[in-house]
Formats: sequence, structure tokens, C-alpha cells
Amino acid sequence: MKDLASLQEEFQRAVIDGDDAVLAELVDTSKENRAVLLNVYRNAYTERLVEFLSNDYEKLYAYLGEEQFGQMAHGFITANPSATSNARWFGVRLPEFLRETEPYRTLPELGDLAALERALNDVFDAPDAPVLDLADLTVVPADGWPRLTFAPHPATRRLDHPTNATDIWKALHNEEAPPETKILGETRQVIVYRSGGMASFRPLPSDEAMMWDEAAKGVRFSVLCEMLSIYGGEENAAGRAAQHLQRWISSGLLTRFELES
Amino acid sequence: MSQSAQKPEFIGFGLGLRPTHYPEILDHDPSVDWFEVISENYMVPGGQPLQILERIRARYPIVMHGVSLSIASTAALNMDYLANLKGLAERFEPRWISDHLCWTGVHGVNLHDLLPIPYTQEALDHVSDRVHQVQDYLGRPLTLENVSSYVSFGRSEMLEWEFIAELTRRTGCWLLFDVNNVYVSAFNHEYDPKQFIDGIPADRVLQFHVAGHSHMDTHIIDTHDAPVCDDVWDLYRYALKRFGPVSTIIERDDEIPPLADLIDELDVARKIAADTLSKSKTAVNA
Ligand SMILES: [Fe+2]
Repeated sequence: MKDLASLQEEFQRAVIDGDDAVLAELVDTSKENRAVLLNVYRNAYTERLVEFLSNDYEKLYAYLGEEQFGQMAHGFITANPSATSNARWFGVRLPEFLRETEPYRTLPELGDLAALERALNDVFDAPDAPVLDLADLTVVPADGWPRLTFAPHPATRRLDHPTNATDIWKALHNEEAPPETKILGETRQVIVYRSGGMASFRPLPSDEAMMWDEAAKGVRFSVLCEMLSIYGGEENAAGRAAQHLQRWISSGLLTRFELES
Repeated sequence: MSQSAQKPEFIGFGLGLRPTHYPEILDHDPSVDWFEVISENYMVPGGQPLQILERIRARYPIVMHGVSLSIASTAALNMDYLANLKGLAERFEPRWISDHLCWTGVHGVNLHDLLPIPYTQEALDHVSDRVHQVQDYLGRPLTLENVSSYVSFGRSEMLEWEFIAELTRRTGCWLLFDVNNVYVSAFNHEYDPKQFIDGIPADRVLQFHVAGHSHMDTHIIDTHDAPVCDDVWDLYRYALKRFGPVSTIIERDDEIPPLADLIDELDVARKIAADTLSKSKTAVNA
């Protein structure tokens, strides 16, 4: 007789791959055939995983509709059996799946929409960390400002969308008909963040996005101002940089500053 | 882990904590004695889920109920999961920690389901070893729940309740006795659910689950999407007579109604327990 490990292996294959070998281990009841009873596990497996995905990607679900979402989800489940002990992380690779897999990769709004939903989920329960306050900066002497660097709060994500997926998201959020997909001439740069405990996002003007990306790498404030002046014109570059910085701070995007020597 | 670990006290009538009820719980302090929380829902880095749980924990006792321990799996114990579980328990101080007498996958795969085990000596030895290991790691006894099952194995050498009784004897684990699951499994495997209850050592039962299910004619599926049916309430009465006062929750995972409806249903459980126990001598063990 095979041991418990082989039996579990066989049962798992029955559920995931539809293999019937384990039926030899199971018994019929007077009311029902064992194959029908085994199907309870098979059906529950897929149903549950599809449900995880539709909970985590509810806009994508609304956008595709039950049937198409179900089809897509089955493809994902077959390609990515769950390797996590927590349902929360089961669907994290869905954006990549949509960007890599036919026929979804030819519909780039799907990957963008999924990436946005994933980022919103991720910032929602990202690690807690202090939020930098404007008042914290009062200790910085005026001649220290050029040497300031900033650390993004862990509950932030930066996305680049070739499509108008954020418009689609908003329409679905308001339960309106989504606009037609557009491939944008210029990539839409989006910041996703946590505010008051809830996940939010906003598109960034390109100069602000550039400054954010550089600031997130630890580039000091003086260099950020220089970059802005090259990027968006010399006029009042430092003032524009200060404005962006102020907005980040009021949205809770930063966790701390450092004063480099 | 010895059997002498002291039995946690009776904490009354609670509900499974579900995020849709967070605002109402925080704003209105509903009259629920305690909440059972799904451990995995709080195994996240930070943010609102943990903050809300902290606020609820400040007002109510909680019990941590997991779905991924996979105690009966032949795969190695997931030490990352156990470390998470232990950390969460240190932070939230649950009255007890429960999971299911089942397995959820092998070879690194999680089927996210409560899969059935054959009731064999081999499985009993294996599960007992694992329960010992987990209890040693957590530094406290584990509480294990009987699951609903849809298939049974020809190789089984004993009945489910015999397996459970022997497991508690060997490991000193507590039991989360799911009345609905006994009802479901008894129907599916064609035995008398009262026989199951009679076969369980009464002093090991720490908690009850009651829940609704879906009747498929030839079998019943444990869906937790409907109110508790009369048959399950009858079985609850029978279990109360045998086990005495046991902390109880109503489990609802789908078609979740407003909190007020669940509190009404919980009052049914309270009333049944009060009526049953006042007529029963077991009540003196409270
Ligand atoms: Fe249960």
C-alpha cells in the first residue's frame, strides 16, 4: 500500500490536474458515486482561487465580466498554482501574467488595470512607518536644504501606464461605462499611496514624476532642483521643486529626510 | 506539551470577525462576547487590518483561527508560517489558537482547501508528531477543528471520532468542535452524528462552531453561506448536553448579512445553550 505522502500527492494531482488515480482509494456511498464526491474538491479548488482573484482585482472583474474573467483566471491558476500560505498573495503575479500571455498581452489596458489594483492592494497593507510632516523640516537650517534627501514611505508605488487604465478604473469605480482603451502618446505616470489608511492614486505631471523617481533613489534636493531646471525650464525651478515636495509631504508620501554632509 | 495545560475559560458567544462588519463593531460596540479572527488575514506587513484588529482586541477577547497550518500534510512544516502565527499571537494575545485537522497541499502547493485524511495508524502517528512539534514551537496547546469531508478513504482503519479522541489523548490538544461539520460529514458518510459526539472526550472540547450549509441531495457541502438550520441546532443541543458550556461562534463566510442579523442568530445559540444547560446536570461543570 502506498504511504500517506504518496496518497496526498495523488489526491493533489486529482484536484489540480484532474487525474483520476486517487479514485481507487475512495469509496462510494449508498447515495453517491465517489467521482461525484471527489468533484466537490475539484470544483471548490478552482472556484476558491477565482474568488481570490476577483476580490483582489474587482475592477478587472467588472471590466472583463464574469465569463471572460473566469476564463482568464483559469489560465492564471493553471500557470500559477498557489505556493503561498496566505490567499492575500495568491494573485500578485496577475499583472505580469496579463502582460506576458496571449491573448491578454495584446490588450495592454488589462495589465495596466491589474497593476493599478495590485499597487492599491499593496499600499493598503504595506508596512507602517512614520509619515514625514512639514514641521519636521523646521529643524533644517536654510543652508542645509541643498543637502536634503528623502525616503519614500513604504506604502507608495510608482506605475507607468502606456494606456488610459486609470480612466477605466475611475469609470468602473463610479459604476459608469468605461471609456474606450487608448494607447497614450506619452506614458501616464502614476503614484499610488496610502492616505488616512485608504489606498489612493493620482497621475503625476511628468516633471514631478521625474523628480519623484530621482528623489526615491536618494538624490539630494539641490540636484533635484537642477534636474527640474533642465527638464522644465530654469524659471523658478527651486520653487517648483519645493511645491512638489510640499505636496508629497501633505499626501504622506515620504517617511523621513536625511541631511547629507 | 502536557495534558495538564489549564483549560482556557469559557468566553461566551462570539462571531467570526469579517471586514465588512469593522465599521459597525468600532462604532457601536455590539453585544458580542468575543471574536474569532482568521489568522492569515492579519499576516500582512501593516496598515488598516492590523490597526483595526488592535482596536477590536482592546475591547473584546479574540481567538485566532487559521486555515493554512496543514497539520496533516506530509510536507515539511512551514516554519515561516509558524513564525508569523507566533508573532501574531504575541501581539494580539488570543485566548487560544486553532486550525483544522486536515492538510492543504504538498510539494510547496497550497490548494487553499481543507483536505480529508485517511483515518489510519500511519496518519495518526504522523499528525500526532506534527501537533507535538507545533505545540512545542508555539509554547501552548493547539486547538484543532474537525472538518467537513466529502470523500472517505477505503484504507481507513478507524472512525473519525476515534482518530480525534486518540489524537487529543496523545498530544493534549484541544478541540474546536464544529457541529455543522459533524452534521455534514455524518450525512455524507452515512453515520449517526450523535455517535460522533458520544465518541469525543468531553473535557477536550474548547469551542463550538455552528454554521449553515448547502444540501445537494446526495451530499451536503459546507458553504457557510446560510443561517444555521434546525437540524444543526438540534445537534448543538445534543453536543451541549454532552460537553457542557462551550464557547460558541457562528461562522459566516459568504452571503454575509448585516451584523445585527448575526447577533440575532447568536441570541438563538445563547437561548438554546441556556435552556439546554439549565435542564442538564453538565452545567455544574461551568
Ligand atoms: Fe468551522
